[in-house]
Amino acid sequence: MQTINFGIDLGTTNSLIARFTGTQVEVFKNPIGLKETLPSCVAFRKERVFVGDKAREWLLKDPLNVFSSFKRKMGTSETYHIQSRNEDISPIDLSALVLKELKNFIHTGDIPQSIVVTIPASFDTVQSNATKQAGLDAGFQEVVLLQEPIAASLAYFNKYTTEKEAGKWLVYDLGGGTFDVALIGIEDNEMRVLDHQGDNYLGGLDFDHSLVIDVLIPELIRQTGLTDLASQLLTRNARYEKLYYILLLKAEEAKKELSARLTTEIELTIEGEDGDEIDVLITVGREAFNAIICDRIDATIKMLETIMVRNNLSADDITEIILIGGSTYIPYVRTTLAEQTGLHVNTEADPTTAVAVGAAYFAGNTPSRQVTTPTDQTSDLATSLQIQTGYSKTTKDLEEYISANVINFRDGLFYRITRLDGGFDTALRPLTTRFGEFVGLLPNRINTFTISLFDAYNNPVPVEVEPVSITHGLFSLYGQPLPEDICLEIDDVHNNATRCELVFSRNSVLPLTKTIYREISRTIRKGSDESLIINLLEGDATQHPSTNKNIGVIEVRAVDLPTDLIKGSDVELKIEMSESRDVKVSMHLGMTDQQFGEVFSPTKRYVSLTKLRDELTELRTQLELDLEKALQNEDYEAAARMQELTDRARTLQEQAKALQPAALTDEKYQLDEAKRKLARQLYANGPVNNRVLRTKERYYNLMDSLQYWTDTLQDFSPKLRHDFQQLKADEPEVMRGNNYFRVESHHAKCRRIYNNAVLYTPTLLAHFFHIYANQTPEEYTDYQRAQAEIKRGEKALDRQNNDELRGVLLNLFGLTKNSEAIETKIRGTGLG
Amino acid sequence: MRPLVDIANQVHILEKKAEKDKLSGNTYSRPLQRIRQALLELGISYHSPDGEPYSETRTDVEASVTGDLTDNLVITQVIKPIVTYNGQIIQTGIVIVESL
Repeated sequence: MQTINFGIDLGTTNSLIARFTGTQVEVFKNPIGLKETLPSCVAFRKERVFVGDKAREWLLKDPLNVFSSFKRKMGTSETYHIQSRNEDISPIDLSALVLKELKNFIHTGDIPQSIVVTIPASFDTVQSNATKQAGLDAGFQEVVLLQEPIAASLAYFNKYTTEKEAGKWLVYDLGGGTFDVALIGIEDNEMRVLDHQGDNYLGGLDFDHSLVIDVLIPELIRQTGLTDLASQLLTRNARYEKLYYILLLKAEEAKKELSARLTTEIELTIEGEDGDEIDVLITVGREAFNAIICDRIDATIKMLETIMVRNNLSADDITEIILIGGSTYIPYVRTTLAEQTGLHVNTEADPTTAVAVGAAYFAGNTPSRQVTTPTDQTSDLATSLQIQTGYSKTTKDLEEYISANVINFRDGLFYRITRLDGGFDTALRPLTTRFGEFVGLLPNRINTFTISLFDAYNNPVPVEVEPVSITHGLFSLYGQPLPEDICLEIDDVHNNATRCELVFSRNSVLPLTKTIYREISRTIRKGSDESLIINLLEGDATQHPSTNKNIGVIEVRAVDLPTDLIKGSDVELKIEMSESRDVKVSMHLGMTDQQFGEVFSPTKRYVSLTKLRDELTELRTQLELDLEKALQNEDYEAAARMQELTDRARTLQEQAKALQPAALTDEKYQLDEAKRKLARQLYANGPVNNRVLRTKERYYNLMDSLQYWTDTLQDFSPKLRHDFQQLKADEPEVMRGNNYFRVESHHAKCRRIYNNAVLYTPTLLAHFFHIYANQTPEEYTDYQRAQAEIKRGEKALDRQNNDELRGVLLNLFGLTKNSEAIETKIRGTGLG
Repeated sequence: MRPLVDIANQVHILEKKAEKDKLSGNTYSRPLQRIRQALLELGISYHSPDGEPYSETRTDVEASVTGDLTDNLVITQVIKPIVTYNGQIIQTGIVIVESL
């Protein structure tokens, strides 16, 4: 059986559309702004028709061309005169425009032919027929009406109980602009509206206005002494007219905040009589807000009581009150209703969407005579129609013109141009053989626009139009992308080495800016011979820093520091690369509040002699290690290569040592070039595999432990299991290549999971604590402190206090000689 | 996502206050910039369209229009900034627009 599935809440203030998916209901969101609600408001601005938020913007400013609350006039002979077009429009036509706009919310590509539309309980036959007609005019072939209180009830009961078999209940609907209360009951297995009462001019907007008039304006007058403020606020084009709109927006915010908090603050800056700015802070309490709405809420309760009396009902006859409408979020409404009626107030469903959700539930159980068609099967309306566009692909302006020619033009169609991020929308405009639009652009990025065609019912017409891409400001005079990665050298503390951190990737288009936050990797003592080195490199970010070219160095010597630079303190680096590839580096040290900066030109080379000497030392150490390993493995061929490279490194090291820092020759640069060649030979060729192999070996050892724990430990968390499985899944690809840095990065991930497993699995936490507790005194740097920690750990273990035990374990690890050794060995840049 | 949007709104307010009170960069704007960067890493960015031209085709803001109707409308006050998540607008800006 084909069911209708789609339901629309066609509200006085806002409208929504939802779909039943077989098990649940999806409330569709506006692709522009992603809100679920569409203001039931239509604006005629020149040739454009705006529906929703954009229309509401002009409601007060252009009332002769903007229309809302037309639902109240459904079924009457009244029409609205559109001044700018000198024509009349009926409430049915306006409602049809809202219904058509809601079709745009359907992101699934379906074009529903049948729809359930909700109507107030108070609607008579003529009004109901008018709503049906609006649905038909919007292009639906079948329109089924459903009363709003029934829809709301369905939303509550389908969600929270399996069956509502009998009884009576009340639906209290306090929206943005209207109030309705309905008595619902089940008679002869049918849910019916038994009675209803309402006020078409009572809702949340009145509360906002009262908050402005009764609370904010008097307080503003008191604080500023501007005695004529009220009249200046409420008169068009008067001095403080703008302030009125600000106050209304602030009042709405305050109202929402007061639903969650007891007080809220409104901050404003207004211009005094003498032109000075006056800062105003107004505190609004929930009590004050309640005081201004209480009369209106009392009025709603009186209407509710009228229904009870009229139907000879007592509180015992009513099972509950269901709340719908955004204003029922207000705590005072909920508590007052419960206190004054003595009834259970049900607030389980979302009051904003309940009617649409209920309509969709109903639609999901109502057979349809029509078929919902996906867009690709729609009519042959435009099979031959084509659109050719013309526009400038790149621009420096924030607005660009798109022109279009329509081939095989068909009358009665509409077009709409939207920007992909949702920030630009032409609204629907009649299609002509040629058309053009100025479109707004976001700066410094590619702006993509979609041109869509629609029929008279706002159903999409399946014409393929290439998306329009306009690039703003990105391409320079040279139009050049970066030929190589730009990276920063940072310490790899665990491996006692340094590595590259990517700043800008290859092929990024200039100019580029990035702010990077790092930490100091080792404490730099004031006045010592240490330094913090910011080393910017160009090359391959996946390779070792010493294989890449230096393009800028900032060296902060410890003698220039006002205090020690403690490990873990913040470093902020802003790196800017201009179109001509000048690099500007600004650095701020959080601990000392010092600012450093330098601009590096692409035509110069920057080599730090200190850094060069360090790198050569590191290279030689690494080569000697590899040589030793090759000899151990009796791989004499590799050993011979290693010996040659080691000798070369030693020579370079001696040359660098002999070089004077202020030397005017370019020997420093020659040495740097020779070092890079040597580093490439070390890191890119055979013997380095020893390092890869060692890392792989360490990795597989950790993985074995993790696998064992996953298989055997009950308290091994699902999150850890998931992380472990993910690691395993990525393993083959990483291990296939022999890129040391990729392998090391994968190993680092594994180590993090391993550490977390130890710290956050109670069994392992206890196990590792026992291992540390049984270490010999020689294994600790301060055995007395270690003993105190062990005692604390034993108590934590007795109390099963895992948080404390975790702290103890970390402290014990910090006190072991191995961990200290790792820390003291580290050298490098000082940047972690 | 809502809490992140709230953070973006509050940082925007703090930035405006710091600017208005001419507070020194080192004291306030640096930590604020860092929060902005942290939000960016989570995919959230925000933009205050102060002083930008306004037209009714701009759907990145909801405007309250004051003064006479003209074609030279400019955003003169931003109550809430435009917030995007991975480039898609998730909060339209709330602004006051005037003809200048």
